[in-house]
Amino acid sequence: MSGPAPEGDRFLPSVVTLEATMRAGKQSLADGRLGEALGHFNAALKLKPRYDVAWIARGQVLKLQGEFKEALGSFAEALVLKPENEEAWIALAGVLHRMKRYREEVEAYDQVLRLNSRNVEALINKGAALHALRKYDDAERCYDTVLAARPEYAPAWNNRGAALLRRGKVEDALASFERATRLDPDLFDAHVNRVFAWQRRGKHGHAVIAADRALALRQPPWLWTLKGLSHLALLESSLAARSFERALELEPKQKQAHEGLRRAKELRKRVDLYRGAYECFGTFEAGDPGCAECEIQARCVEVTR
Amino acid sequence: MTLPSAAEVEHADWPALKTFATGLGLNPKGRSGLVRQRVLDHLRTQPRGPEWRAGKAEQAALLTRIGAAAAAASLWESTITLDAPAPWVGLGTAYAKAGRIEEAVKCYDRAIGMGDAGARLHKANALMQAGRSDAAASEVDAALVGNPANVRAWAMRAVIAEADGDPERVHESHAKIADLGRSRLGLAKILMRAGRFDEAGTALEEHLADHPDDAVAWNQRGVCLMKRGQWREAVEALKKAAALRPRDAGVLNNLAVALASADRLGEAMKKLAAARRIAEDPRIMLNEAALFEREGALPEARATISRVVHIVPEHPEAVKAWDRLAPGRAAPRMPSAAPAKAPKQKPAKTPAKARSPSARKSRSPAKKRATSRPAKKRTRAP
Repeated sequence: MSGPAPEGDRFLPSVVTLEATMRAGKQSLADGRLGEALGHFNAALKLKPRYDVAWIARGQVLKLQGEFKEALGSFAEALVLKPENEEAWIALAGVLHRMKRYREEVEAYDQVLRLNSRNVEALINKGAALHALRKYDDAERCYDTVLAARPEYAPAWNNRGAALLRRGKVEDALASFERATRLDPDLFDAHVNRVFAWQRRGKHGHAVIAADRALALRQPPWLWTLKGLSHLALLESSLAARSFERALELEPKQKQAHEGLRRAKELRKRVDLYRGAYECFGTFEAGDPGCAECEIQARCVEVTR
Repeated sequence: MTLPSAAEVEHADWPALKTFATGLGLNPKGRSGLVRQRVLDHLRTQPRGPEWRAGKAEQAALLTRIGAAAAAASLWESTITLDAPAPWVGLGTAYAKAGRIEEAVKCYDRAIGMGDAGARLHKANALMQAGRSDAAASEVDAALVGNPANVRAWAMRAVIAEADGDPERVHESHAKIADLGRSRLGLAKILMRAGRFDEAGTALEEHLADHPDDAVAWNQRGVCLMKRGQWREAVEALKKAAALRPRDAGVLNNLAVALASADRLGEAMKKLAAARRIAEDPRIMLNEAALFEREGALPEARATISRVVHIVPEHPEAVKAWDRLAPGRAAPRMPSAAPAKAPKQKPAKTPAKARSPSARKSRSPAKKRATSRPAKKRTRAP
């Protein structure tokens, strides 16, 4: 009979190796060395083929590498081994989203919600998938469920607003975006959605303000184009031209920006309003003390619709 | 500029909002909603400065000052370190406020041992409180050996000497303070008390050259000039005092006396009436009665004196004036207070029934979510 194992040899050698391999894989993944990470997780699966955590980790690496089909297979293996694994279902749904297989994505989230009906991540992602499927009513219901549990969750307010905007409820959508930006003033998507909503309402002064707030966070070329369009509507041809030029600097092949720039230059021959220090130009509000003191009130009233 | 809180900005009216924006170097122009948003964004992105919080020593000092001596003492004890005399002084002061003079003196001794000469004056104060003025005086003298230019020590020496009834030392201390170039007012006061009005006048003149807005000094100068019979100058000095302190009944009374002495009775009467409106002081009323009598308005003089006798029945000057103005008449007495009628008792209202609180179903606390991760996907509208 053999005595107790010496200190440091508590497990079988393969288990120790498995743990070390998983650790190395996770470290490589965290460092962005995807190939190395994949090698480690494959090695771990050779040591223990029925290891769901390794299958999920492998799937994540493959997803990052853009190998969606293989990633899907990896997550499916994990789910065969442990069907109640919420993380695996969410990861699977994520790959399906990237593959634009929204219907199956919704089913995956339904599986998660069957296991845990209060999983906020699953609810909000299911809402986004339903939004992509143009099922805005169902999407809104998902967001309402999230907001009932977590009313402070800004992305849910933003997504709810997006669904409402799609259904033509512009006022409600604006209120939702307002809530989202109040809760998280750095939520870029909410500011952008406000631009869309204000433009839909024909309130281009407000749209410019929302665009400026979004541009302070990120500067995608299409947003400069959107801003330029609102300046055009406010008869600010110089500002519009400047916005389109900026959009074209960032992406020279943008057709809409080219067209916008041409229109701005044409407009400049006829009119070019100057807002000066008034960022709120085009948002005149009768009775507001700031508007009462405004030096360019007459022009502001003219362009505020 | 101190950053306003977000709540202040949220609820600020338009002028306040503009002030905030301007103070923070932001554009104050535009629709109020936008200016408000601009300020809020600034607050969000600018890091707030570190907030000041009262430390134990500050809390202890505050408690000592407001009189919570026991609590202050325990806080001071918690701030004591091996090399800092200040907590010992604080602890001593807390003990002194609590009337524990022996402990206070011991604490001050510790601070003195650590090299805090100022603690000697605190000790002297505590000793004075215990009635040991000799010991207090020697502590002050010891402090003055270390720092002969310590005005506070000289002032305390004067106070101790005054309590001991030693006018020479009082004068010497105030003269020293004056020599040190601080205040000549104390010296002037002592000189006036000694009847040395010429010297007092000089001291006051020097003091007023440096402190032209000192109403007390102008008043003292007026009194000094009156004592020297310089009525017109006295009136001028007292007018300056009254201009600086228009609600001081004493100054107005002195001015009235100076005016009356300068034969300006009408003005004097007005000033006395004004003084009386501020304070019904027997001295003011006696002066007023004297002026009435001098003008031959005996009924008014009698009425005023009767009021004085009514307030201070044993005032010798008032009694004498009453005897002169109303010979043979009994001095007015305070009317005995009529028994107050018992108010009619209203039938007590039946108290409102206490409503038993509606039974509330106990709810089990919400379960904590094991993990809550932010959603990865966000939706953009179009």
